[in-house]
Amino acid sequence: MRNSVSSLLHKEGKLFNAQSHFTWSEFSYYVFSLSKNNKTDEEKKIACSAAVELLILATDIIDDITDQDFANESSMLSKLTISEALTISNTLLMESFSLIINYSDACNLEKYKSMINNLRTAAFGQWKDLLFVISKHVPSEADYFALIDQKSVPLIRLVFEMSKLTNDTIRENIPRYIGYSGQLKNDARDILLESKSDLIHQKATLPLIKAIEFSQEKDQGWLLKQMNRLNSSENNTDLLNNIRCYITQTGAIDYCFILSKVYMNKATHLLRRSMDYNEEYVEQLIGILEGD
Amino acid sequence: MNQKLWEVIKLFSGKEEIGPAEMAIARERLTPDVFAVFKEQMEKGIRSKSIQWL
Repeated sequence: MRNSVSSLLHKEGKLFNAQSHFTWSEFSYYVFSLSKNNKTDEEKKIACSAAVELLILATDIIDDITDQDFANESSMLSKLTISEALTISNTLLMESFSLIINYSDACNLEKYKSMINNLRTAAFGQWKDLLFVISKHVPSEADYFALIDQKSVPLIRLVFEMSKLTNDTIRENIPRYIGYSGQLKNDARDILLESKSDLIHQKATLPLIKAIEFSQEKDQGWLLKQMNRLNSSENNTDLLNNIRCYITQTGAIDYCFILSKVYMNKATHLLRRSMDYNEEYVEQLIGILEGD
Repeated sequence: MNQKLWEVIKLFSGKEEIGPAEMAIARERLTPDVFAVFKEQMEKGIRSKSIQWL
């Protein structure tokens, strides 16, 4: 298992991949270092950052299984059987909890409860996400943000709540803005990639929701009719290319990239505004968030 | 905030180029923080060409 986990941690966006601009452990380390007043020792910060990296790796494995994402090299499943992947994911989750219990201030019962609540919220959000697809009913932009609030934001909030930061307004809003920004950017990027399955599975991501909204106003729902022709078991290359081209031309991708940057600016503004934060780590944190 | 931005983007979807007149409309309709990002994205050329058949 050690070799398999090491191999997974070399995947794109993971700790041991030299090309990774953003990793969850680096992000966590900077968040744990933000407080000027309540310093945490290095060993605890590193152990808790590792715990977050393993926790997210465990959830990434489950994501790839649910998305049936087996084909591309960056998939967590490219060299694992489903049985191996599930067992590793479960083990990583337990290892992560073990590190948190041994090294974080989560031994404080209230903090531990809050951490578990964030994980529960995200788990229910993942279930909702499975059903969040384009069907006869097209979800709205408000539905999309409500889903991000449930499936993505709690994972970021968990990191902030593991830290010793005390400002509740900032702890509430920064994770939300970072979560919105990251999800919008991922969804805008992924919908154009052939290696990603969002489109073929008709996932109701914001670029698709907005492009359908545009199409319903301008051309009697051409896009929805094309989406209905998609079949996950057939070769849809030309149809997918046409759909991707159309979505881009509606401006829906630009809309998501612009919103992503606006939310990131809100987060960085709040981070820089706080006098209680260590400026060096604020800039390090902003650097990896904006560089992603 | 989001709806105004989407309305501006839709407004420009039939245009080949975004010139000073269009940017003035965007500046008028968007808040300064959103307009700054909008302008930055337009300058980067991330925005794609308009849909010709509309």
